[in-house]
Amino acid sequence: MNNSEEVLHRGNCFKLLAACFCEPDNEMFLEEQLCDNLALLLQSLSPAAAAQAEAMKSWLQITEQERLRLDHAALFVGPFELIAVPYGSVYLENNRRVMGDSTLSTQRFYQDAGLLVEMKEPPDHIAIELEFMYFLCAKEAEALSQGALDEAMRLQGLQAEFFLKMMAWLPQFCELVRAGADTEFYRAAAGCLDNFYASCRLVYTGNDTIN
Amino acid sequence: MKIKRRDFLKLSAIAGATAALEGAQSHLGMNALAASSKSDKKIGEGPGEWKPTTCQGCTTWCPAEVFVQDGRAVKVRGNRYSKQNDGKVCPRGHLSLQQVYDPDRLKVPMKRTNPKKGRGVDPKFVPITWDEAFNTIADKMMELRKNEEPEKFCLMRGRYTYMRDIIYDVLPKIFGTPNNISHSSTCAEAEKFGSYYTEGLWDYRDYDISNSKYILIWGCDPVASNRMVPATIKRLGDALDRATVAAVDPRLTTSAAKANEWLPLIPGTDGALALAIAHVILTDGAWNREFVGDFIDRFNRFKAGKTVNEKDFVEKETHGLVKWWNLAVKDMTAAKAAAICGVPAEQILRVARGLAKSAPHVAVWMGPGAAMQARGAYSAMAVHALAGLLGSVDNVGGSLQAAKIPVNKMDDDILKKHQDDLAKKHTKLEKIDQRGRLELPVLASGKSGGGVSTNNVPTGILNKDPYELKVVVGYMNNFVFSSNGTDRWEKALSSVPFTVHLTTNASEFTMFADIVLPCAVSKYERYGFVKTKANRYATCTLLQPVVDPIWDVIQDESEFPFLLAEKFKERGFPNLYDCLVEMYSDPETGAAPKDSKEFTVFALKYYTQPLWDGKKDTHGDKINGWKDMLEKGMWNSEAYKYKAHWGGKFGTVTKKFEFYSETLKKALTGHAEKHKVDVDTVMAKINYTARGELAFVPHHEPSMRHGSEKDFPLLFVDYKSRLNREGRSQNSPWYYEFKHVDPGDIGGQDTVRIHPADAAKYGVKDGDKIKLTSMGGSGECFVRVWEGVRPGTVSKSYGQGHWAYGRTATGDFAGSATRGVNNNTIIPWELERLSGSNARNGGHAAVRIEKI
Repeated sequence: MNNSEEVLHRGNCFKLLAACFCEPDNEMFLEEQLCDNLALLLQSLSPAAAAQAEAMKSWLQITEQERLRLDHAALFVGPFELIAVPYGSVYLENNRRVMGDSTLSTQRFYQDAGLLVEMKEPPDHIAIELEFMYFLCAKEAEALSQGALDEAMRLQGLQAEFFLKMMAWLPQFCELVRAGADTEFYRAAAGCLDNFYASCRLVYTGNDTIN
Repeated sequence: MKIKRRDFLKLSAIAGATAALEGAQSHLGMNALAASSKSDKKIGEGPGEWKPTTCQGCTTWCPAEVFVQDGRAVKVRGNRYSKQNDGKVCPRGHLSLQQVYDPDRLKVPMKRTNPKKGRGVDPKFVPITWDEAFNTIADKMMELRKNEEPEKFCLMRGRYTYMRDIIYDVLPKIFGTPNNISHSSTCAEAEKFGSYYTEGLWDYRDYDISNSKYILIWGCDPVASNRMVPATIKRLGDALDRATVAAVDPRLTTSAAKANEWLPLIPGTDGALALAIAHVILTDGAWNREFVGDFIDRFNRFKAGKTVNEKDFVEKETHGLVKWWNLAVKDMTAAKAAAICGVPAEQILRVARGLAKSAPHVAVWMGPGAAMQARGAYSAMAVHALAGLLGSVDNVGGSLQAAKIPVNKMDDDILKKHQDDLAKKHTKLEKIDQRGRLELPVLASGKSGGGVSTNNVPTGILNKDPYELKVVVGYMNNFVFSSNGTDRWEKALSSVPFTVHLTTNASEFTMFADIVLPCAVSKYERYGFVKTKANRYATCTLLQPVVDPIWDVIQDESEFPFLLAEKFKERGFPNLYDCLVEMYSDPETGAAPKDSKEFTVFALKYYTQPLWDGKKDTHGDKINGWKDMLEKGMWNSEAYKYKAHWGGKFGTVTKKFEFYSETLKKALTGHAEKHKVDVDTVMAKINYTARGELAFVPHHEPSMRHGSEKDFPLLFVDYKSRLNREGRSQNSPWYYEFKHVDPGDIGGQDTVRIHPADAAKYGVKDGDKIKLTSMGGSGECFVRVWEGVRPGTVSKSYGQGHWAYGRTATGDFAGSATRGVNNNTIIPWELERLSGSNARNGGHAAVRIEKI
């Protein structure tokens, strides 16, 4: 595997994990082999996360769509108390509100990357932040494949900055999902994200080799 | 958050050499993120701007401005053009920032998947599309029309703007139901009763405290709640340098803490105290002669216990003073009243004489505490009658009516044109709250059944009387929390087959809903307009979306009916759509609205047009067109002209200020005749003790009590915190952090205040957790031992005790556990039947406390 493929690999993990925290569609997830792909991609990055992705697949096969929808709503949507608030500011600012200063910082990252949020959600929604990391990885992979090394370095630095500054809340979020989920699927998804986060953290803090 | 396209689940490969590094990212298969056009405005670097809107945190309805940076609301102040609040807001204005950015807000339309309804039963809501939501609602409603029973649809309205006509009038009337139920009788209809049956004003009064020499605050706390909060905060300090301030309330309110006199009366004895003050003024010969008149020979015949000949007195701007004296006042000496109301006779004398000395520049500020009682209609009249006696009605420093606000009204002709025969027939049926029945006169504006009795709706629903309700839509309301007798609402709503809740936050009402629709937060995300008054100025102030809503929400009063009308049209019933489009096309161009958002703006333009189109003198601010109206965000009237209703221009039957209310006599007689009984029978049926002529004058009624003194020895005093944005701010962390701004309260807890003598008597100490129990229900909270509450009573702020709300407000949603106890569970269900009001004050709620 060359450098660009390795980076894209990681990017695809971010992307598929982003999908896991959107509204669930059991049939579509299975048809598109979401968990299989995730497990495959994660094997080299984080075997522990890969194992959780395998578990996700098993649970997905036996969990009814309605149960998934209910659990997803109760965890991340409401309408009453949110079990696991999916917005970064609530964790980073300890103020239980959305659209905090950290949310604006997140939005500024997107703006600087030439992006905006097209959905009616605060910009620091877990799925959007994961999608942004996918975007940065994909762009880095493109740059690498085209030999644009300066650009690749810039994008890599941006990933590290965003990941370490804006996504530090993920372990706490994963813990709330694990503790509050009604389905094993979301418990496994939280485990998968948590382990993947830990492996990325090593990469972005320079404690692991960036290929 | 949805996955917009299946591609998002596919693995991305390295893009080919042709893929651009910049620009559109379509080849990356993005979901929530998209390429943006280059912008010079970098987030975090812009200066921000103040944008006008309106705060509806309480009933002041303040013209406000919100500072917006990078599309985010950051801080709040009063509107710079306001002649009421002078650019200031109260704490509620700031607290609202935590409401608009509350992570627990409703984010998407949702439907119930658990058919079982009840307290503690998880509805198991799941997200649905707007289309599914509106299709379901339209199908359910059209089924009623198909079965020729449109009256079984009921629209319930909580807080509103004046865009309410669209959802509250046009929708139900075109659909064919008489059931548009407002929350008004939860607020203070009994208060309006007091001013209507004396001076013909069915409304709240303005108080000219900038010019008062004596301010008698009665049953409210105007620096904390009520209807002109920032204006009062601004002025009460100055007033204390110039005027005497006295506060009548069983608890030491924020205003009382600053006042010269605190009169901690026994709850429910307001009528006796007011009559005693009148007695002192009359026997002292100290009434205002310019307004009231005098004895022909100027010799004062008002002597304690002595009847006076009516012919000896000639009135000027008033009617029936001597009759009132003879029927209700003559025996109510200060000493007698002291025995009834627990306020020392010498204090009654001192306050009465102070008032008389300062008359007519006296504000007798009557609030809901004096009126919203099971027998509170006459005490409301009695308190307001003092303003008449002192000549301060419509006078400098007194109680004022308001200048006119020239806005357009809903066009009845267009409405009628689009009503079909089914709608015309069924809108005339009896309403679900049973207003106008013998035992429920609801004499708003002089008519039997002329107002609303919100808290009697559960009676109608539970008994299916006059009929069953099958579809309920509630907006910006939470009656199951905000109305006393919460258990009745829980049972009633559990029995309704299909309920829709339009709201910003899921609440107790939502627990009984089948579909819940996310709505824009008032003040930040929606259009609307309200009318308000303070400091002699009437104001029309706009609500505007100063920020883009974070989540996909609609504006309840305008978009809901428009989107529903489109669905009705698809189902072969175009009347509502046609009516809305005809009534609310763009008043400038005549263009029909393209969608619900444009419809909303056109409707706002239609209503406010006379203020900004320059065609007629508005007798107020000059506004140069629609753009200017949006930029200023408000309009001020000219200052209210004193004595505008003197000279026989009051809205009563006699056109005078009535101490003997011919207006009430006419209304009560009309109601009695409608039911073929006499007025005494009416009085007996509605739990009042007055018989004969006493029913037509302000008088003292013994208070009602639910529960024996032995089992429930303490009287419960409900009040509104200065942090209450009605019942909606309890999910804001700041509410708990700053709750100590209420006198005697501390932060982070739901507390009940008890006098040290009572604390010793019942064996509780400061900080103890207790169980509070009444005939209505029970719950847990903490004791705060405090001298600022009358012995024999306990006081507690309304607001906490949610069992279904967001994470901060609710103890444990899964367990249906509350954080504190809802006052409306403690206050047993009861009505003030003359006005239809919820009875929540006056001591009918008797309680006991037990240490846990």
